[in-house]
Amino acid sequence: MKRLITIAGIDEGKGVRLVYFYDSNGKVTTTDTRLPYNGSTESISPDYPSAEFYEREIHDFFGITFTGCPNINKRLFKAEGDKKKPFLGARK
Amino acid sequence: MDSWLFLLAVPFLAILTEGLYRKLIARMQNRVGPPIAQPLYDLLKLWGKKPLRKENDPFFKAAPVLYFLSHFALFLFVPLSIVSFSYDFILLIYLTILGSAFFILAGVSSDSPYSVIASMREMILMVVYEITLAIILVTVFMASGALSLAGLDVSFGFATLPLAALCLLAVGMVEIHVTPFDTASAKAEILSGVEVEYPGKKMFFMKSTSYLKKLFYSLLWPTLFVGTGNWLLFGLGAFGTFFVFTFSQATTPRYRVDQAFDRLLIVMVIALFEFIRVSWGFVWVL
Amino acid sequence: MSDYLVPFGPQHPAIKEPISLRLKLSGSTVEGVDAQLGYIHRGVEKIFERENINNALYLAERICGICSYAHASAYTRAMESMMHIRAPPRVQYLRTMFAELERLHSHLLWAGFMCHEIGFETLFQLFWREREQILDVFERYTGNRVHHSYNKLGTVRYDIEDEDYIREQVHSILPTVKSLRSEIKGNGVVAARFKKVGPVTHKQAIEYCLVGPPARACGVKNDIRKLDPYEAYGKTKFKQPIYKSGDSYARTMVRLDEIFESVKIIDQCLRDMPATKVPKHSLKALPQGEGYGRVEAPRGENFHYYIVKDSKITRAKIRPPTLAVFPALETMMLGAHVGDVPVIVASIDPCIGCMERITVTKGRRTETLTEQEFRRKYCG
Repeated sequence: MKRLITIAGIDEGKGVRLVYFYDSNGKVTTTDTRLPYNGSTESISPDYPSAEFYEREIHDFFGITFTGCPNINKRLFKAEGDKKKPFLGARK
Repeated sequence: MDSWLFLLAVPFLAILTEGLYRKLIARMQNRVGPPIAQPLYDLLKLWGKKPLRKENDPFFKAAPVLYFLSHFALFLFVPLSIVSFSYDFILLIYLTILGSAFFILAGVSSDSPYSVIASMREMILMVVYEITLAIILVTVFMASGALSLAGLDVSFGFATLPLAALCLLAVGMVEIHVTPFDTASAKAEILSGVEVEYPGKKMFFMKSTSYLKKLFYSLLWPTLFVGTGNWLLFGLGAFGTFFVFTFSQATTPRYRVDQAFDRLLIVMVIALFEFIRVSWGFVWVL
Repeated sequence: MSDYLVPFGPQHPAIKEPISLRLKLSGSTVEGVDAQLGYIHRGVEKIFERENINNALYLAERICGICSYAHASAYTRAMESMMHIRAPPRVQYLRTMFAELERLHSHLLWAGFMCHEIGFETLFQLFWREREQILDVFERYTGNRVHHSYNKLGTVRYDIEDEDYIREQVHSILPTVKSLRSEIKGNGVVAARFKKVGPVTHKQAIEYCLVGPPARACGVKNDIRKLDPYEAYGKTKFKQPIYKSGDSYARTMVRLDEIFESVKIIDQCLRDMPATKVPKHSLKALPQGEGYGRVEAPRGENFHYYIVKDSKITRAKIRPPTLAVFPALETMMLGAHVGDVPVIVASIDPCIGCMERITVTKGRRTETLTEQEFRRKYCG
């Protein structure tokens, strides 16, 4: 089974690009997905329970929803009630 | 009359004990360690500190002083019997339980959850170690046939009652809060538990009581198992007990509360065995 | 159904850095854990944006104090792979040696901390005494005990002169660490506090994608130095200690064994280093690139991913090892006694500073902001 390394979110101006990094036997493989702002995609946490943390972080900072991710609305890195998405906007 | 003068010496002996304890542990850990008079400086500093907030709870204010007094009173019996009467060792047991009860009261009346956890741990362990202490004291008195500490004529009691002697060392470790049994005042886990909320003068009493306890249990062991006949041997016994406590603190980690309870239960069973052995008359005479 | 919720953190003497774990207790058994992070989130990934690739190296080092060289190594690996440059062999050996020295100092620090958790103050003092020998080496060759700034893109800052000094200092820790290790192995109280505490099965380790010593303690072979060799690791011989039981005791022993393996690697580096000159450092440019670099930090796999445009970083993603292990923390704590929680948290060797990425620096000005101010000023 591939090992999940991390999920990275990148703000590309027109939308958010998600890069999934896997490790298969020492080789790093990636999967790219492009989503519109506030888009949503399926969560991979049923297969990879640790993806929950990465998906929650991306949800907190980019606003992407992952359907099926447990605790998606519980803040991980930010205080409760904070609506701003730090990674989008000002810095390009 | 002159035995009352010993009470004046007790505070200095307690400070000396604590100072030596810290120095010895530091040397075992490859450190220089504080000067031997450091506990005196600590106490003087604590006496001068003001409390940080308004304290309303009468138990919070009273517990440290009561804790101190109940332990200071123990020195009326050990090692010189300044006060003595028949069956006074039962009063000794009572005073130690009372002292521990004040410790628990001190924790419960603090506002911090850590103090409450510490008191709970002390309560759990008290069930075992106080009973063990009572059993050991009764065993010693049964074996010697005396009725009071003044008339206690023990010579090399640790050879006649070896198991009881070992059990007393274990009980001493729990009472003075050294590892492996210092679960109730674990500095890393519960921030020293009961003492954490006490400022200034109250902390002075808590700290000085902990110094007194070290002195008391270092003196209790030779009183019961070496005898006050020969003061040189008594002194060696006291120093040996003190060294065992220090060595234990330096070389063992700490048990979790349920593990400590299980180990102390074994100690209690051993003490009970000794008690049964003595009460049935199977005492071998040196 | 749990009886009550006990807060563990964010301030607690048992944890080095602030995390908030709310433990759902039933009696004194842990039934669930509610983790809340972000207490020292410094917005590191955001600060990387708009930095020149030569300057960002200093930022990468300061993500964490104990594993600062691991972050610098991952950064250089990522940048050098994007620029398609390869450091000369002597530089590779030097970098390997410093990475192993850092592993030594981190494991010794952690071993002391672990003993402190269970009240074994003496071992704590003695482990840290040995760590001073390694810190002396760092101070002599880089000028600083913790943040070394040793790596540069394509080279290292200084060459080493006196190899015998390094060899002597590193070997001087071996006898004491050996005896401390056998003390931990043989002590009954330590066994009671560590064995069967916080267990993770092999299957769970793979499911949760654990990295580093926690995974190796479950039998998963995942050392990046072996799977994906970098610098001079391909040319050095060493073992990866694997234990099967997956509890805190196994995690402790994996790290203690790794100390001895690190010493072997340092010896081999000192022996095999070619006696060539180390190139002088120069500024590098990279018009466009997207790449990653990963290294085996003392705590596990440290993964950096960068997108570069015009020699400026436009996106940095850092996945430190503690973040990979953290999701498994709840599994480890289920069913544990509440007194075991500090031991379990300490046994994964948490480096919360790495895990959260506020002191924002703008040019030369530094400002320390509260979370409110940071959000108001810098978040769109």
